[in-house]
Amino acid sequence: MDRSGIDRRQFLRGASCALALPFLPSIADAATRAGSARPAPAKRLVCVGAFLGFHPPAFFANGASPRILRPLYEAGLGSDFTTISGLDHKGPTGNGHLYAHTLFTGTIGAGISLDQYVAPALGKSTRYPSLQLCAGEPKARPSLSFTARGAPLPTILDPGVLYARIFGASALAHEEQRYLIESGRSLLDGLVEEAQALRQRMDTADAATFEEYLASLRDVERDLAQQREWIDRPFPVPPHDLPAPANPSLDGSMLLVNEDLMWDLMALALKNDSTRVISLSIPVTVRALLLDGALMSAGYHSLTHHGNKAETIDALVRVEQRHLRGAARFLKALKDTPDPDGGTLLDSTVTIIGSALGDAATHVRTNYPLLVAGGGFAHRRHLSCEEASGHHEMACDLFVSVLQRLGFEDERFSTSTSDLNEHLT
Amino acid sequence: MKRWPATTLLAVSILCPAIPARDPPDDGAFRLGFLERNCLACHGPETQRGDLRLDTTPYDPGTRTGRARWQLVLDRIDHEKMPPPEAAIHPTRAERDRIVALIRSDMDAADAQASVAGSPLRGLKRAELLNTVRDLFDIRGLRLPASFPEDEAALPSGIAPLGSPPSAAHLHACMELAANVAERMVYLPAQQVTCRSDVSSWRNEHSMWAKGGDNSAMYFNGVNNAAWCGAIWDRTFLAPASGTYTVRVAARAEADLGADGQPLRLGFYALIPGDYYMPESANRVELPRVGSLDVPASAVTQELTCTVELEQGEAVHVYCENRLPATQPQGALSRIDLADLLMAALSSPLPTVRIESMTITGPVAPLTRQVAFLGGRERPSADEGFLRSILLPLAERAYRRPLTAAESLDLIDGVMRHLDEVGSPELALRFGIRRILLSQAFQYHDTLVDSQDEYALASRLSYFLWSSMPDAELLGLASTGRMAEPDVLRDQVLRMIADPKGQRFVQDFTGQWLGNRELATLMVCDAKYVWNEPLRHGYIRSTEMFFDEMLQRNHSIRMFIDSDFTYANLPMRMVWGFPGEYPDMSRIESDEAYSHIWPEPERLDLSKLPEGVPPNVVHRGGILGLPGVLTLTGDGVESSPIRRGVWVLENLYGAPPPPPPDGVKALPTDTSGATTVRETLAAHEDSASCASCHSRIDPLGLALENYDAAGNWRELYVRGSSAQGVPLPPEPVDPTSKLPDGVRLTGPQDLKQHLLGHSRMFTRCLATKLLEYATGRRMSKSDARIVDQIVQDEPSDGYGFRDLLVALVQSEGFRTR
Repeated sequence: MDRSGIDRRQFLRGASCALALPFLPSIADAATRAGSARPAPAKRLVCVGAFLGFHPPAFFANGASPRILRPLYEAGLGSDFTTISGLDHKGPTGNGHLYAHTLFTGTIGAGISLDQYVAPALGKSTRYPSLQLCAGEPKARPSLSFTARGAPLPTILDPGVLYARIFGASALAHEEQRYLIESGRSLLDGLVEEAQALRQRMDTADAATFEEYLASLRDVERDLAQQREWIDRPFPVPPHDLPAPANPSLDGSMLLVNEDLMWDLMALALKNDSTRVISLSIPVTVRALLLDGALMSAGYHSLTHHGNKAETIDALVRVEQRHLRGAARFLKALKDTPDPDGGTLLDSTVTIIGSALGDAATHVRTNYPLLVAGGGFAHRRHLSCEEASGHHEMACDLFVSVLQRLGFEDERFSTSTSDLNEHLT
Repeated sequence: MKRWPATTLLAVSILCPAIPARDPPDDGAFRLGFLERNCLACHGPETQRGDLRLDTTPYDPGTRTGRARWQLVLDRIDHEKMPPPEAAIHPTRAERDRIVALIRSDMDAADAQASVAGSPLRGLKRAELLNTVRDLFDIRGLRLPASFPEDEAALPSGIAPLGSPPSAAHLHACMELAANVAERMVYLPAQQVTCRSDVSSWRNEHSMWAKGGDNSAMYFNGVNNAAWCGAIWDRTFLAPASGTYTVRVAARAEADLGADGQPLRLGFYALIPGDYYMPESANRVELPRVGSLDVPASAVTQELTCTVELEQGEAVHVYCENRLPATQPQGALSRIDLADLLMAALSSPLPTVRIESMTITGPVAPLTRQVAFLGGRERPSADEGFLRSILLPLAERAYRRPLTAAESLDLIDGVMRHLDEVGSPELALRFGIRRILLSQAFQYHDTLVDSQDEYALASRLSYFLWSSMPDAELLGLASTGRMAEPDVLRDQVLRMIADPKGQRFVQDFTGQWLGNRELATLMVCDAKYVWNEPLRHGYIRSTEMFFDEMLQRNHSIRMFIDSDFTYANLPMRMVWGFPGEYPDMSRIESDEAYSHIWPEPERLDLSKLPEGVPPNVVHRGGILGLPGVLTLTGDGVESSPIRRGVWVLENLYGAPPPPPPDGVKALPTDTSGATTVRETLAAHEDSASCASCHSRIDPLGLALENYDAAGNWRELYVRGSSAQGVPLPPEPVDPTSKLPDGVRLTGPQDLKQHLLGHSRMFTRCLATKLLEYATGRRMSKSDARIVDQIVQDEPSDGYGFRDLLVALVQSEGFRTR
């Protein structure tokens, strides 16, 4: 949603979030065609965050045994990603669970998340400007996506719902949808009139807040117009080997099963251009997870407090490897799909996987596990920011490089102090 | 980044008189000069860093929106954040002080002139909206759409949200809710759905009692304590719309009569399958019964038919009701107990009902509720008079007041226009319901301008104590002009507190003031602590029950500071070291994992504790003994004397310290325990700017150091290992400290004594929080005068809590918007 009108008024939000015009793909293409060295910008962003983090010794590609990454190597993606160590958001120490949702905002105050920042520009011509997903249970369905006002966006929990978003619901539901949109637009006209009448009784100081209300009404008006436009366009046809998930269990123990479905549907959503911006949360659950058909012996959360017991760490790594197995299937699907504008979908999609919890075993909020894949970056398996020239420490430095890869001209995002261009491009 | 102070929506001019700025030429010239010299290079005509342009921004610190803006400018200048270090010139400290004083005095002048008024126009909070819609329409199982955003922005005190303009996401969610309510209220014959299931497709919730002996039919053993137990209709059937459905069952009974002497009977119950995973209450409620069917004994299967009334999204749960004697326990049970019961029921030789298939078709007719909404008609008429007769009374209840002529006209006009367009009276009626639910009069508090309005008073009282719309009695008092009479207000407060809906005030206010809302999601997470859901439940409920007793028994509010009673549930008492025959914690945890049934707290008389209870439990009286409060002032891993001190200042003394200046790093929390808390806090004494506030904060927190991050008593700090991996010896807790007024504290009891010695501060703090909660406005200087009066009138042994509520409700501060 474009809330630039509001941002302009909330002027002290900080230069870090100041809006900049995206570097338009058409311009970029022209630049490429003209023989510029700059590769075409990526045009999709996928942000994935695990609220319980990743076991650090098994995560970073420069480690002795990065077992969690094995699915990526097995899928032949060994040169398509970079793990990055040494970055975090700084800020308060203590119980890292409290701030695990800040992975893509970079701040514990109100701030927009990276995906929502790019969605208005990247998602302009797709059915959904962005999708927010969560592999959790109804009780805990945290979002990684935040509006500029710091409000979390609700997440889709049920893979069946995501399926219907991508491939469309029944014809009847379609008809009802059309009626709701059209009658919704008349209702909105009434609300605008009602608001205009109220405006006359207002003093100047409140005119600005009133304008915000009108701006919200106009946003909704525009959203409905966009929905109206899309409702008559045919949905893509689902692949026959992937039927709609029927009433999947949304119990916390089913996290990995539902997450697997989410990864596959995410790949389809990008392939058929339903959306270009996705966030996926892998939340905390205390439930024991169903893994390969068997219930694990301890809850996911208690596995993270492994007390350095080898067998508990093994179990934890199996779970975390499972997250990456979904990711590997997803990335492989993108790699196997040509992008209409040249290259593969993997080249034109930036995927970030990570956590704002450095190590759930000790709750630290330092040295986040971060992985960036595809997107046309010059991948190098691992980047140690502790040792890199210039010595980076802010995770948002990575996000600045991602923004620029996506064609934005921003030089700052949230708590960034610099960028990682030197190491990734 | 600091949180942007909430701005306000649509405040009507009469609520917020513009303050003529006191602006003697000298001061004005200095201000303009200061801005020009120091600010305009980056925030002026040439560039507008952060989208801020100060030469054209109106100087209006007296208005609500202006105050937020200029407060930030003031803070940046005062804390020497601006101009930034790289700027070419910097003002002197004296110049900074002068401009800061100048802007502050303009703000104070505005405050002094303000009358008691200015509640921002507030939208209904999530809980208020849901309660109101439920009270208005009485639709079973109605909830907010999943897309409904969380409440935004609260006052700095943490009490009550300020009005902020609704985001587009909020408007979208309201539109979704309104459309859903309209669909459920007005039946529209739609495409019917038929769903047949038989023994091959049924899914049992418990594998051990699958499909009877020969796999040819479903047996019902007759236990129905909770949704998860019993035969659930194949979950692929969910009622597509609210309406009446036909059920056809192929079944036969094994005997003529059940245990109650009546024919064996199938009962049909409605449930929302999602709730199976998401129990909303600790103790399960019985499912609503929507139909029943007597099954005759027979050698051959017969086809039987009945109807069930279902709400949209509901599934059907069916079981044989009278197979077993009615002595079967029907209340809340843990799953472990239930599993035993099930085994017994299964092995019982009593006859039962066999079902071979069930088919459900519908919707075939409207619900009783939908017919009643249309005044007894099956279908609405397209007649304008009919639509008015349904919609205008509904709007009047929804708006909590009579409609203005323009409002009625707009509403009916819109509906008739829509009727012309679509031709369906059902859709027109639905359109009208949606319009009502989206109107500002429904979505906002106090939408009429007249500040003496009786209806607004009835609503304010109702949202204060019930978090919902006023009932017929309150609206009746408003319509006869008696609402504002002090005796009427008093009687209504007493009636409303005693009503079950009064628990919403208990929950919501403790959620905000005593941190229960935060506690609901806080992760207490360290091997040092026993922590599980039964304990979390006990923490939350013990705070609520303590507060509720204060209210219902009209205890002196001094007892918030110290009391001779508290509440604790079984797991809490186990952790506190109560002797006795308790099951071990793992049994409680496994019960919880199965059933989500959590033990409720019980009252503890602290003056008569049983033999063998550790002596520290005596200190559990009052708010400062509630483990929930002690837990939320940590982060779930370590307790923090700073957070506790700030919390006590803010919530008990009513004297919150200013936020730390920008750029100051928080002291590190050392989870290894290698340095002691005292060593860490000593850093505050090194700097005068830290010490100015922390000399007030730290001693209060240190006095509570005997409580760990989970609110349990400790006399030793459990410490980790040194850098060399050598385990550190436990360190004794030292709860002594000295307050700036020279008083020495040696633990929680001393802190309570100090608070009791300053009980007027506490009264003022509580009264202010209640008034802010009720009115949704930050207390102005003139509100402070009203609170002062209430504090002055306090009896020597303190207000009874209920009496304080009555005094506040009768005060001008409550009555005026």
